[in-house]
Amino acid sequence: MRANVLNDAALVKQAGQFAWLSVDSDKPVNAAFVDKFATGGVPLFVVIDPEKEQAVLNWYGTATAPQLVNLLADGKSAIGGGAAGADALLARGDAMNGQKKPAEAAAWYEQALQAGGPSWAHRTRTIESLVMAYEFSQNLAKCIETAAREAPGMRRDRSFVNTVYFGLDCAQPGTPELKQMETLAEEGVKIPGVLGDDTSGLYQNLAGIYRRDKDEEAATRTATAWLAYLQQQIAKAPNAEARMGYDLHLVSAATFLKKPELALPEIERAERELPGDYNPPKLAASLYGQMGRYEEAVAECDRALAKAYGVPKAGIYLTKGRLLEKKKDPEAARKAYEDGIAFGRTLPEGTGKSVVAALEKALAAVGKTP
Amino acid sequence: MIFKLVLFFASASVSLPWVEDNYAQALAAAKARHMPLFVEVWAPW
Repeated sequence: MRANVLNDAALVKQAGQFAWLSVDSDKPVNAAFVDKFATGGVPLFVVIDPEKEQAVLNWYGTATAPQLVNLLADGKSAIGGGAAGADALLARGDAMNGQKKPAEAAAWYEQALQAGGPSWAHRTRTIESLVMAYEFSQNLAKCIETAAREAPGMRRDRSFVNTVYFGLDCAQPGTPELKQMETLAEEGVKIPGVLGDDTSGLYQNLAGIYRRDKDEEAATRTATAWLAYLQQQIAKAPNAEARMGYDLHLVSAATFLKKPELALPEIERAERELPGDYNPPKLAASLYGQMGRYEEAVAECDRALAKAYGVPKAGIYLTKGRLLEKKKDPEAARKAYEDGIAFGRTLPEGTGKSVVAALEKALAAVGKTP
Repeated sequence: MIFKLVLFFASASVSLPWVEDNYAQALAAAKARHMPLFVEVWAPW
């Protein structure tokens, strides 16, 4: 998404209307920003009122260029004030979201939907924001109720895919709502023109749910289609960076299918094409490890460690230690865990806590399991 | 053809003026210009 949407002419036209900040959430220097403004994953887009240093709008997940342009307009309008009716209620919801209060945000979004009615220009965006707010506030019943009510009538585009994605997450096993979401997701993965990240994410979610619910035939069928879709996108991608975006998904698909060898040639190519990026060797380590080629996997970890930073680097130490244990080299594994702990303790407070705890646990257990 | 090439180079030379990984600097720029601050949060993985 970074490789294309953020360079779109429609966004570039807004250059003089905003100040622009790009934040790599893995970099320790950004820890305080991430702690203040982010709650979910990445990508995340935030519009900040600079005078109050408050987020007036948070958007999790991908967006098309026209959607981002609309989000910019919404953020600007929220700072300027003056919105009325449903638009004002939406701005209140966005503000609550920006303050990491998703339950309160959901209440405003519900009111905005009711006030806006079926032809309101912001309806689709508000449905997405509402479903996400319910999931982030762990109100899974309202999340699936909303997705099941709204998704069937939505235009078949990125917003539909995103709403169904969250609906799948929120639906309980064995319910008619889950069956409905699965049917809509089967439709969603075939919609043309949707960003590859979104289609891939929907494939992954759907395959995982089929596997969770012990429908291995459907899980394998879905993951096989997912992998083929990614291979097609990689073949069409304009450059190495765009391919890399899909490579991350490709490894997940191959791993899901327990066929790591299907992703290996592409990851080896990425490693040649992007020598400064830690992701290709990190992914190669995972694939070699699954194939039982531990020596090569450990060597890939070392290559990744030389380039990585932040929490992911501590995670690579953990992977390396586990690989060395599988290679029956507990002394080297112990050293990898110790190095990882030492590195993790240099990270800003809070950010490396869970990975350091995992490294400490692994260190304590080295050599204790047969 | 020439027109297309001009368009290509014109679009290739324009991009958003991102501040990389420096919230304080971007915030100061937003305050100075009385503009909202738009932030993209991403990860390399």
